[in-house]
Amino acid sequence: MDKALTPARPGPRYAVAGSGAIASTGRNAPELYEALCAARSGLAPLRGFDADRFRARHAYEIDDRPGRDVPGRATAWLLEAIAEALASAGLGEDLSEIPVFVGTGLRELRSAELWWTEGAPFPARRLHFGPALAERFGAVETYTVNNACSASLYALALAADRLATGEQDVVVAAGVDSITASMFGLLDRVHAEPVDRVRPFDRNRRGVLMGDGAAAVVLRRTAERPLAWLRSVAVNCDAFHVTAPDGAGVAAAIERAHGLAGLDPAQIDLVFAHGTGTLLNDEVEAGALTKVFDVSTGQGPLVTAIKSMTGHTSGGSGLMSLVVAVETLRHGRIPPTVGLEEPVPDAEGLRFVTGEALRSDVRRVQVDAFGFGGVNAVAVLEKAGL
Amino acid sequence: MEVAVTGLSVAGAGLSEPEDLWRRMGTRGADGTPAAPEPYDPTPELGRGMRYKDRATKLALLAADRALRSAGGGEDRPGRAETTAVVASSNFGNLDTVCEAASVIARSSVSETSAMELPNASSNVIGSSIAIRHGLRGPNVMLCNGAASGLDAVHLARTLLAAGRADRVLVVGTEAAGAAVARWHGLSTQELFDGAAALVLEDAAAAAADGRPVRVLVDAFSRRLGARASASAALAGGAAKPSLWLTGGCPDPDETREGPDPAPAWGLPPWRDVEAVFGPAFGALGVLQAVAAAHRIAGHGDPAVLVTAGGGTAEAAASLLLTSAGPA
Repeated sequence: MDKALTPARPGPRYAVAGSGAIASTGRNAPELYEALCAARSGLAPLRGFDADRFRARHAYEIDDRPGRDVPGRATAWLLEAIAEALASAGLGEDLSEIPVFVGTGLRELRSAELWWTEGAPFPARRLHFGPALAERFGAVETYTVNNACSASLYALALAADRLATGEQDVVVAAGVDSITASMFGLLDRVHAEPVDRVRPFDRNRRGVLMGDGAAAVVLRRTAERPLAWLRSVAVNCDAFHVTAPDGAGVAAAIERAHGLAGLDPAQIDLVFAHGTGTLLNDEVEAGALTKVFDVSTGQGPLVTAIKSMTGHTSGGSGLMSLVVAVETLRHGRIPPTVGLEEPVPDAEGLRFVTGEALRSDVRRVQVDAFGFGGVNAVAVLEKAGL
Repeated sequence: MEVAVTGLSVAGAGLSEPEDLWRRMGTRGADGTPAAPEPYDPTPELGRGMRYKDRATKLALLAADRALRSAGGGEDRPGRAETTAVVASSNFGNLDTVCEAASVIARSSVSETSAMELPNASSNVIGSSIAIRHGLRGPNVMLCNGAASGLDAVHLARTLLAAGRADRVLVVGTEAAGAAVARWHGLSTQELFDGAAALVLEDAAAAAADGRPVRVLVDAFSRRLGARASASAALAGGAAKPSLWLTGGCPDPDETREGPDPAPAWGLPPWRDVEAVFGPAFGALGVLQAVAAAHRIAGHGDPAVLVTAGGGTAEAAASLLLTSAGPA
C-alpha cells in the first residue's frame, strides 16, 4: 500500500453550510425531504417525449414545460438549486471569488438534441454551465465535471480539495441533469423488458428510469452552526468496463471514504445507496456493502435509496442523496425505499428502510454514487454537534 | 508542491510528436489558415478493440499511449495504478453520438438504435476508456468546460496532486471534427481541429528522486474575465518572464481587457493564436497549448511560455505559465 491509500491521519472535516435541491417530487430541499419521508414518488407518464417512440412509458420528470419541450431546463434548475443553497448558507449571490464545481452526466445535451432534431435555438457555448453561472452569479471560476452518474459527488470531492489545499474558505458544489432522449432511449433499448418504475435492490426490479433534478451545497472550511459536517469524499475508477460496475472498485471507494474520515465501518449508521434499480448496480453495490460492513450480527447499517421516488437523476443524483442525507441528520427521519419488497440475495444482512419513513437518531451517513466507466464516489457526513 | 510536466504527446493528422506543432506553427505563422487535414486513422497504432469507440476517444487513447510512453511508462509498478489519475477534457466528444441517437428516435423509435452506442452516450467515455486501457484506478475526471476547459484540466490535475489524491495525473484534451459540432459553429469539418494532446504531471521532487529529468514546471494559473486580464494575473503570480504568449478561443486578446492589468513592468509578449494554425480546438485547446508551451521549454530552451484559453465570450478565460526547471 502506498501513501495515497493509507492516510496517516484522518483529513479535516468541512461544514455543509447551505443546501438546495429540486426534483420531480419537490421544488426545494425541505419540500423534497418531506415528500420523500411521506413516500411520495415523482413517477408519472412521459411528458416531454413522444411516448410512442419508446418502450418505457414513465419517467420522474420535473413538470415545468410550457407545453412542448424547451431548451435550457437543466441550466434553470442548476441556478435555482445554487441560489437556494446560497440563501440557506446566509450568503449573497456574488460568486466572483468562489469556485463552483458542477457535476453532470448530460450537461445541456437535451438542448443539443432539440437544436439538432427540431432546430430549437440554442448556442453551443451553453452546452456547459459556465456562461449561465457567470451571468447569474458573476462566477469566474466554474467547472462542468461530466462524470456520468457519480458526477456531483466527484464535483464535491474536487470542491472540498480547494478547502484542503488552503486556497479557499468557501466553495460551491452542485449537480444537475435533465433527461435526454438519447440516454433515456438507449437505456430503454438495453433493458430486457420495459421498466415501469425504479425498485432499488428488489428481486423483481426491471431496471432504471431516469429523473430530472438538481442539487447544490455550500461548503465552508468551518462554521459555527453547520447543517452537517462533511467528513470525507473518496473518488476512484474501476478501470474495468465502460458501463458495468466492478465490485472491487466500488468496495475500494467505500473503504477509502471511511479511511479518509478516520472512521470504522461500524460507526456508519445509514447508507444512502446509489441503488439505481439496474440488475447489475444493485447486485454489485449490495455485494460491496456486505463486504465492507459486518452484517453477520444483524447490526449492519440501515440502507435506503431515494431513486425509488426521484428516479435516477444521473449526474445530480449523488449530491441529491447527500442533500437529503443532511436533512435526515438534522431531523432524524429516514426516507424509505419505495417498491422494495423482497431484497436481492446479495443484500442479506443489510437493514433496508422500506414502506414508510423510519425515525432514528442517525449520527453518520455514507452516500454512494457510481457511474458509467466505473467512476465511483463515496461521501461520509456527520451530524452537526458531534 | 512543485509540479513537473514529465510526459508530452500529440495525436492527429500530421501530429506524431510535439515538435510537429512547432513545425506547423513555425512555417505557417499565426495568420495562416488551417490546412485541410489529410485523412487520418488512429486505429492502426491503437490495435484491437476500437470498433465501437468514437473518434474523440480513439484520438485521446492514442495521445494517452504516447504521453505515458514519453513519461517513461511504469504503469505496472506496484501501487501505480491506484495513484494515477486521469483528467480528460472535451466539449463535443460525444455530440455526434447523442445527436444521431436522438435523430433515430425522433424519426422512428428506440428499437432502431444500437445498444452498442450506450457507452458513447455518456460523455465520460473518453476518460474511462483511457483508465481501462492502462488500468489506471485513481480519480478519473471528465471536464467539458468551454474554451478554457483544457487549461482548467491542467489546473484540476495539479489540485489532485496537491490534495494527495494522486501521485501522477494524465491530462488529455481531445476533439473530433464531427458533423454536429461543425454545423453548430457554422463551419466545415475541415476547418476544425481533429486531434488530441496529452501531458503527464507529477510532483517534481518525486520525479527527480526517481531519476527522471525534470525540465518543465507548471507555474501560476489564473481564471479571469478577459484574456488579457487573465494572462496578466498569471504573469504577475509567475516566477519567470515568458518568451511567448499562446492564445486561442479569442479573436483578439488585446480587445478583452476586462479586469485590472497587474502585469509586471516587462508586460506581455505579443500573442499568437494557436487556433489560427490548427483550427478551433474547443476542449482540446488548453492541453494542445500546454504541450506546445512545454515542448518550447524542453526542446527549444525557452525560459517560460504563457498560455491563455478563452476570453472571447462573457465567460472567464484561463491562463497558465509554464517555466523551465533550469538547465537539464
